Amino acid sequence: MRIPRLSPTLTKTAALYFAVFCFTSLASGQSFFKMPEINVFAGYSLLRFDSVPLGYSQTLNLHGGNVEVSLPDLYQGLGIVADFSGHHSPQAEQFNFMIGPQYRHEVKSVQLFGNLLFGKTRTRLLQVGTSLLEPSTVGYSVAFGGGIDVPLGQRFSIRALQADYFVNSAFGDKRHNMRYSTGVVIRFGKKSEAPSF
Amino acid sequence: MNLRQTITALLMSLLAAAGLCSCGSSHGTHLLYVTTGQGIYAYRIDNKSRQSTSIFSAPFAVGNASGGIVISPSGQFAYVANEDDNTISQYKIDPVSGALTEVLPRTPAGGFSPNSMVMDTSGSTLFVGNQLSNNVSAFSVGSGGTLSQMSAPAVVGSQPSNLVFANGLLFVAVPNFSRVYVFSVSSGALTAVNGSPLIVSNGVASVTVDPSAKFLYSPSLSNSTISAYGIQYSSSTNTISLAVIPGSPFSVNSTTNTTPAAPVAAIFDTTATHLYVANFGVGSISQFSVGTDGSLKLLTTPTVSVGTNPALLIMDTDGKHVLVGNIGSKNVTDLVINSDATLGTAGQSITVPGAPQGLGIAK
Repeated sequence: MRIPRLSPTLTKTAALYFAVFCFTSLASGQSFFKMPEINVFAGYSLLRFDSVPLGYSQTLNLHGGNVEVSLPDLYQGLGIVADFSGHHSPQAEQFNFMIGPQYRHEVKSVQLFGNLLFGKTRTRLLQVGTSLLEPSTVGYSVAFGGGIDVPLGQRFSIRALQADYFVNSAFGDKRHNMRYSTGVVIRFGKKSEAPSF
Repeated sequence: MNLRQTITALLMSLLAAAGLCSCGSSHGTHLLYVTTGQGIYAYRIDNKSRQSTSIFSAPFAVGNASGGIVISPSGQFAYVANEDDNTISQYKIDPVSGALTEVLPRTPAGGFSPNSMVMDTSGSTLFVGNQLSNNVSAFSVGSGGTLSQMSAPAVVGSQPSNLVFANGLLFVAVPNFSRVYVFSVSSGALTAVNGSPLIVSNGVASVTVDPSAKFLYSPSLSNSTISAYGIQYSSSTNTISLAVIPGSPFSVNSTTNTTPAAPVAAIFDTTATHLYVANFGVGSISQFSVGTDGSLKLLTTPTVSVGTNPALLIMDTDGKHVLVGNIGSKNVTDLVINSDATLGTAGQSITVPGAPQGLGIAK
């Protein structure tokens, strides 16, 4: 039997319902008047772009920024994170928007986390000479990784390192990249008690 | 170990693995450019594994009916002859991406139907053979790679098939008259040498001259032989003559073959002690040792098979590999020069979307 594909409108509606469900679940677990914990991360990011299969002499280092907004503790250390990053070099640039689950764990006040993100990526090659091809593409992306947040007081943390194995489809094939980020995490709302030893 | 400890250990392992993944390094590589009717295709060849990777952004735009390609000795610029446009395209080479960026406007070739080109060893002068106007143009190469025509084109009797620059002399093969024209080059000006054109018996498909300009070799399409000559040149009188080397012409086959070998091109190894000849008719390369008197002797393994209709030969920048452009099978064969000077297959042949018209290698 042929299963019809969902239209874009239906997909967006489903995503909206899912978001409302998440926030409703969050609200039910918290006091109605208390803002849930929201972490906002912003910082520098390095993308080791898998450019050798495209004929480049070396893996390209793309520099840029990474911003994340997360609800870190929806259930037993499990949360959700939305991730945006942009990277640039003279040879290429890449922009990523991803969302996915995050697991957070506290060890002696240091926060360890891991995440699995899904989304879309635009990749553009910049120095393609007088090419006869279109040097830009949009494809899916998947990132799997984690990091360490070191708290500085109640509201701020330093993200010592976040590292993600980052796969995206671009130019007809999978690109196997690595992404590293570091920066500052600002916490809003009441601090959740993350699972700890 | 409970579940939380396990997850924590996994996170730490992941971070460690991420650090390791970033430490990879790549071997040295260089770039191969192939002109075709559809544009210029480019490939990055690993120096060690000989694996080739297509440059994603290729093909690069080129004029109508692109022919020969020349890479400057610095590896910064490429020049392509556009036969139907009567122009020369100049490109900047991006060593990281391998991309070619054309520098416009294109330079008029100084004649009609430019095809074969050669650059002097210093990279300061580019010579262009124009097939329909039967002449050769000389261009000075500026610091930014720009071309400026230096003087009026030098006339040759008929269509030039290839050009060779050796020891301050420019040799131009003219198959229709079975002649080789020779010019002395001074500050880009071409002066016909006394005694030019040189008469080559058995026919001229192309001409090959060793770097010191002591010996001249010319494949003969119809006879499947290589004609060999000693060059006598006097710079004081600017006079040249040829002396037939004993045993010449040399057969490119060790055995009688019903299919004509039809040799079209030849190339020396870096020491000029061995000569490799592309046999267009039978898809092979004949392998000769070169005696001190210039005589040729087929090696114990006289030929090595390549693709269909090999016509283009180029020495790799490492001096250890020969690349062969096969017009019929539309590919490039990568051959390694073994310690006994025989050629062996290195890596896979590189498939090109169109018939190769010219080969160029950049460091």
